[in-house]
Amino acid sequence: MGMAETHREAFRDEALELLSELESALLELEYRPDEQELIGRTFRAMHTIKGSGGMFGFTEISDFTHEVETVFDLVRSGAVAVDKELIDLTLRSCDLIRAMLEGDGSADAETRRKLTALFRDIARPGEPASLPSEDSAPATEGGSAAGGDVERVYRIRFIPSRDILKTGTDPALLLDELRQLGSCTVIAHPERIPRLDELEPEDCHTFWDVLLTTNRGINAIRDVFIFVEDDGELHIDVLDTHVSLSEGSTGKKLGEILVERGDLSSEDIHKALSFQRRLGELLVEKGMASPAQVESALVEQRHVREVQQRRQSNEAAASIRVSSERLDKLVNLVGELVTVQARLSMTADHRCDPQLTLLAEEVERLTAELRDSTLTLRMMPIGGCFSRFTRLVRDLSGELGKNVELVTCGGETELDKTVLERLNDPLVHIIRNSIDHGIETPDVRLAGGKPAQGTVRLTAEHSGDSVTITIEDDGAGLDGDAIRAKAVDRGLLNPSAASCDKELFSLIFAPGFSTAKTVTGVSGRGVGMDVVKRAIDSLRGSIDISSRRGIGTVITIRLPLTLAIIETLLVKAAGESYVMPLSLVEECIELNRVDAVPSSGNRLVNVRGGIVPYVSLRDSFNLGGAAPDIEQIVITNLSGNRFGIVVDSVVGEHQTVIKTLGRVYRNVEGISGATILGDGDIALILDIPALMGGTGPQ
Amino acid sequence: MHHEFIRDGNVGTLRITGDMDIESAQELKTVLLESLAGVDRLLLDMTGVSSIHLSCVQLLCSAHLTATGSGMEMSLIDTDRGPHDDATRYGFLRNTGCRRTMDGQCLWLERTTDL
Amino acid sequence: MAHTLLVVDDSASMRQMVTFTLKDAGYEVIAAAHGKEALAKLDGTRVSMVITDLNMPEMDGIELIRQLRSRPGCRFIPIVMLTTESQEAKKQAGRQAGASGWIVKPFNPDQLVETVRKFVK
Repeated sequence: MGMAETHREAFRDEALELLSELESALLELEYRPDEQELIGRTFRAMHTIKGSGGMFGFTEISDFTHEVETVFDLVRSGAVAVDKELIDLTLRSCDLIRAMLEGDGSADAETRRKLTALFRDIARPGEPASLPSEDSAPATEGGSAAGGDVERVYRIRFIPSRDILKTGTDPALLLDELRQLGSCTVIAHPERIPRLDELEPEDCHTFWDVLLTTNRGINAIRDVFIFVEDDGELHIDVLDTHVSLSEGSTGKKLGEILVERGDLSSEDIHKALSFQRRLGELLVEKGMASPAQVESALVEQRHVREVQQRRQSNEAAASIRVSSERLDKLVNLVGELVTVQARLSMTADHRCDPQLTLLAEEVERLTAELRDSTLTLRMMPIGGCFSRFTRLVRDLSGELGKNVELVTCGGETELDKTVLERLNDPLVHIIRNSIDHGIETPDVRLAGGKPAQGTVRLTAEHSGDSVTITIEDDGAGLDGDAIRAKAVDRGLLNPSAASCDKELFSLIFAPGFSTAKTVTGVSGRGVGMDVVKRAIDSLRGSIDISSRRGIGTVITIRLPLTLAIIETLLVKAAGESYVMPLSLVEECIELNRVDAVPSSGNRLVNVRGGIVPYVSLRDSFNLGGAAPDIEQIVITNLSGNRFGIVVDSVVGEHQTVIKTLGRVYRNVEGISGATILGDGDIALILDIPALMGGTGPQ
Repeated sequence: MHHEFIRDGNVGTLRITGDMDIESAQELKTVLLESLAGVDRLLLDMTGVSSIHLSCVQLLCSAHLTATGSGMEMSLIDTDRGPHDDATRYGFLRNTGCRRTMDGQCLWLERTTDL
Repeated sequence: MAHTLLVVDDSASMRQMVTFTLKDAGYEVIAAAHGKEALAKLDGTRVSMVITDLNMPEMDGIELIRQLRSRPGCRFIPIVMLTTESQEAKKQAGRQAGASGWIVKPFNPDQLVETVRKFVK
């Protein structure tokens, strides 16, 4: 006999016993219809037969007894009175139940139907008989529950009643149950925990957010909270369907989630972020990783990010093409906007209206952002320019019987497209020179202990608001003596002058200089390097050369990122405004008249022991009026050469949108352009190299 | 739950052992209030605790909040081991400090991080 | 150490079924036929959980829950009521008295164990 059958036997015995007891109670009840104890005994007997009957498979008995029990529940509460008819009916029910328990199938279905109807009529007089409601157990069978099978992410917020602990529920078990449903993250919220002296220790002050990924469906989650849901709060939201968390999908950021839930305001998030410490710092502090390990991991991370960003930007570049005229127009408009914004800021400053000032600041911020993003639109990687040189190097080295390899680095470095376009020719000149004059023929190299193959290395990298491009070769290096001889020969250098290498090398940028023993078809007729220098100057860049005999030559070009908008220093002379590129400005000092020694057309000033030539703007541009008692001299530095410009006063830094000059000014020496100031006035942009040219060391 | 409180100048050390169950919650509240009175710094030694019920986790959080709110310090001894498993089970484990306490710290800070 | 559960029901077959099922699931069981007997048997013994019927002679389930909740050692233990669908009012009274949960009869042994495991492991 199986266990279930044992239970059935036990139930049958018990039920028969209960029925005998029920009969005697009913017979007594007929005489004492108001006795509660008897009514209670009758009810309990029916209740037990119903409850246990259902559990041991006697469903029909359970269903039928339910009808009798319902009536006796009403009797207990006084809604139905005990009378002879009810006793009769109930006794007949006892007989029926006994017959059903004996269970040979002969239990009279007709009798059951009739009695059921009669009891229902007593319970709900006048109402049509209906079937008893379906019993439902709290625990449902997990997987098959509604909404099951599909994996979803649920956000569960559970705010239990304060009394939950006192009614014997430990939230840990509920949370454990959730964890069994799937991948689960539990976050306790301690926000409502009061201070110690106000804390009721046996109350629950905590609430929870749980993120659960499960395929069991929402009902399985509800079942976990079945006993506590009514007294507390339970919110279950479906966050996402068909998630694959492993795919590295970043999803929402923490702050976004917190704000979305209303837990924090976005200001809170920003405040918190400013306090947040980096994981790396923590790891190092805890001694769990060395600074080097962290650093290396960070580098790798940065690398991957950069690669991804590059890929993204490349993809973006491939996805939309805009004509450069349109871009230029946009940049021009932004330039106008920058100017207007400067005027707005100035006006706001004068008005002393806080509201206007606030608006002006906001406009300033937006304009700066707009300017930066617009200029970014014009940025292009230098790599495209680099790749053209590979072919050039190959052709040249073949022609000259040399073996040269071009190595490029930093091709992803971005520059303004105008700068890039104008950079191509100078670079071609420099590389030609390197191969023609620098790299030796293979036999010479081998004789000198060098590998037969020479290398020209082309590198680009960002440094602040400029880009540095270096062209490096491992050739013969510059011949200082040859340069000196040539310079003297060309009248560029006084034969008796003692010059250091740096000064000698810079002479190769002088017009008409070429040290090549023979004129080749490659580096032309010695018109290379001075052209290069002029081109770089026109880009407001600088060029430097360093070289070691037998080791090689390095040419360094520094270029501003963009040409459209530059940071400048605003100065005044004779009531006129002038600006000059801030990147060229070294310092501003008062011009001490005692130190200023006029000398044949040029003037020199002693700045910290060094003699610096200078010009006065008043003189250069023939401006009228008397100079103030104290003038200012702005010391600029162009490729290592210092040069002073005397002005009436220095106003300060100014963001300058460069405008091309009209015809009238086009041929004015020393002016390269114009800009509009905040107050609507025009300021001329000083062409420092040109001004310098009038005073340069002869 | 058993406890032992040792005071050394302005520093108090509260050592708790056994089960920190809900039956002990009232007692724990008294113990914490007494321990915090008159010290600048309270060190909590829970190395001998076998289990912590939510009620006691709440009390410790509250004590930490209260202590730091009055300019005191309260921290766990044996920080290497990290918070008790039961605190983790209740979801009290934190990556970042508590934003309610004055020192921004949390008793249940995670000690190891999986990258 | 196995958890000890207290089962209270005036139906012998119910007690037998519940006791057997829980022992089979690895729990120790103390059985009582009504509230008074339960309190008497409990004296001195620590139980992890109580499962009680509501309709019982001598002392019914509601009163038992009330008494347990004021007894040291039983104030915070889980108490699950055995109810039927028709006992909604009683069920609410039981919750008011401090019951932790309920099982609606009829139930099968798996459902019983599942419910018990919500409260003790």
